[in-house]
Amino acid sequence: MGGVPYGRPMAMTDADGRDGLQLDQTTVQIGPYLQTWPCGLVLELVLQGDVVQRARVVRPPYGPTKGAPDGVSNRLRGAARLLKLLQLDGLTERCRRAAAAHERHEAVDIAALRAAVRRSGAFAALPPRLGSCRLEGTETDVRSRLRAWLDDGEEQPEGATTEPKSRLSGLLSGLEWNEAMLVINSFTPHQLRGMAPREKVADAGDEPERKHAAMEHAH
Amino acid sequence: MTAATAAAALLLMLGGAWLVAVFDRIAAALVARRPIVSPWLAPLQSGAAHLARRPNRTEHPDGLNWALAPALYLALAFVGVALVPLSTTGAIADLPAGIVLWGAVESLTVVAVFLHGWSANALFPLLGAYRYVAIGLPVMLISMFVLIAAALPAQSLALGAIVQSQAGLWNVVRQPLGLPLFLLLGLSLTLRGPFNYADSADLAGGTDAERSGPPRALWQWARLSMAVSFSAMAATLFLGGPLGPAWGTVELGPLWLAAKTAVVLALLVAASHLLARMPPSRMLTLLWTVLLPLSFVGLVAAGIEAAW
Repeated sequence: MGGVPYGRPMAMTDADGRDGLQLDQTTVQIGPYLQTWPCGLVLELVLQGDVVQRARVVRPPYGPTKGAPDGVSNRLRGAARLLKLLQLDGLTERCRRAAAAHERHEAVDIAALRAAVRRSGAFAALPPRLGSCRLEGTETDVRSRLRAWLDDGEEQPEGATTEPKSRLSGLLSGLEWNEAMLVINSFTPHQLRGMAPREKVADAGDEPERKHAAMEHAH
Repeated sequence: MTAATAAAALLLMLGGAWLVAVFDRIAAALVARRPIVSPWLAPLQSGAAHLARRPNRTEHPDGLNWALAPALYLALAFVGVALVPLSTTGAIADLPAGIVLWGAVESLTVVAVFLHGWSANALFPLLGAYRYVAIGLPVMLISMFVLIAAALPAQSLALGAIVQSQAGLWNVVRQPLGLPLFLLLGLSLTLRGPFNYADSADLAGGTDAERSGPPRALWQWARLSMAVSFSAMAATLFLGGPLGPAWGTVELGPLWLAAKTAVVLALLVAASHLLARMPPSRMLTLLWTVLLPLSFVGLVAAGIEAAW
């Protein structure tokens, strides 16, 4: 059963974590470039319909190219990606423009931006406790991370941010596609590099994949 | 049906689709706080650019359905507007149960969008297609309650009779829940903003992700046309359609309808640029546990009001 037709693993049924329906399972590689995606990150996802069953980091994302790793401009760029996922294109544009303006050392009114985001219902639209993990010693979720990105805008001293102990692949299992995308985009590239190290096939460790790997070895 | 009615309907659909695109540019610029640059011509230029590009092809698509889905979507938009009474004397298709056919247009739109995503044979369009069906079903149920409520005061399923029943008081006042709930359907039918689950950013464009060239232009035009069709229907059901003061002896019905349609279009565009979209599972919970019961409350209230 199964095999790798046209160079891709065939869709196979597997036990389901959501509603007990045995749906086809499909394995896809996503990345390194997408509209709303940390640059350079490559994930191998085992999907059942729109639910992520397992995730494996094939390649960690690139580090930030400009500014302090978790500084204002990179946090605004992160907020822009999340807002894009919430279909708020206008506010996405405002965030990106503010990030660019901050890099040119122009004054940026982050409070106004934050008020506009709140009026759009963005915080209410995010489910509570989505992607929750400990960050800098406090429990955070996607909503609180977005809120922190749009906070007063004080430059954090470099290195003050401790990286989260959770692994990205662990946070994604069982999430629906859109929720998984929100979680992936709720970390700065700097934070992601700490929590998304390259993972070997065996790490994700499940029966069909081991077989697949063994077959590749035999060739 | 006279030739003049058909010409008026065609003008409404073509002019309306262009107007939605113009509204979209203006709203996008206002929300992003940047200057509005050439809103009148930009939609036509971007349409022409799509037409000049080559269509994309995926691996083993269901070619027939992939080609037909945008055409079906567009055709459904035109069926919708054919039912709308353009003047007090009648519509292109003046059916005794016109509102029922509009219900069929709504449900077949779900089929058209699903086929568009499914037939591309690619991951993102497929996810968009399934997700759209999951959200589209409860939204459609809400709209069915809203439609029944709008037909109650007229005691008729004919859209002409529903317009006449609003001669004294428009349904937007008589049934305050109706238009807001019906606007949710409009956002869902046209894949917009807070109800854009089919063609969304997290799927890199969803059912439209693998499209380029003329088929993409056709799909976008169909979306704009459906917005016009929906808005004309909303204006008919809630804003009295072509009812309005005449200018001397000249009846201004079609102009009143066009103006009211433009107002609904502006509301639709504003909602799609201003409101955040929830993840699908959160939206499903909200739809089934809050909005669907709310639409039922609206129906009961409309029934009591009509029996009074």
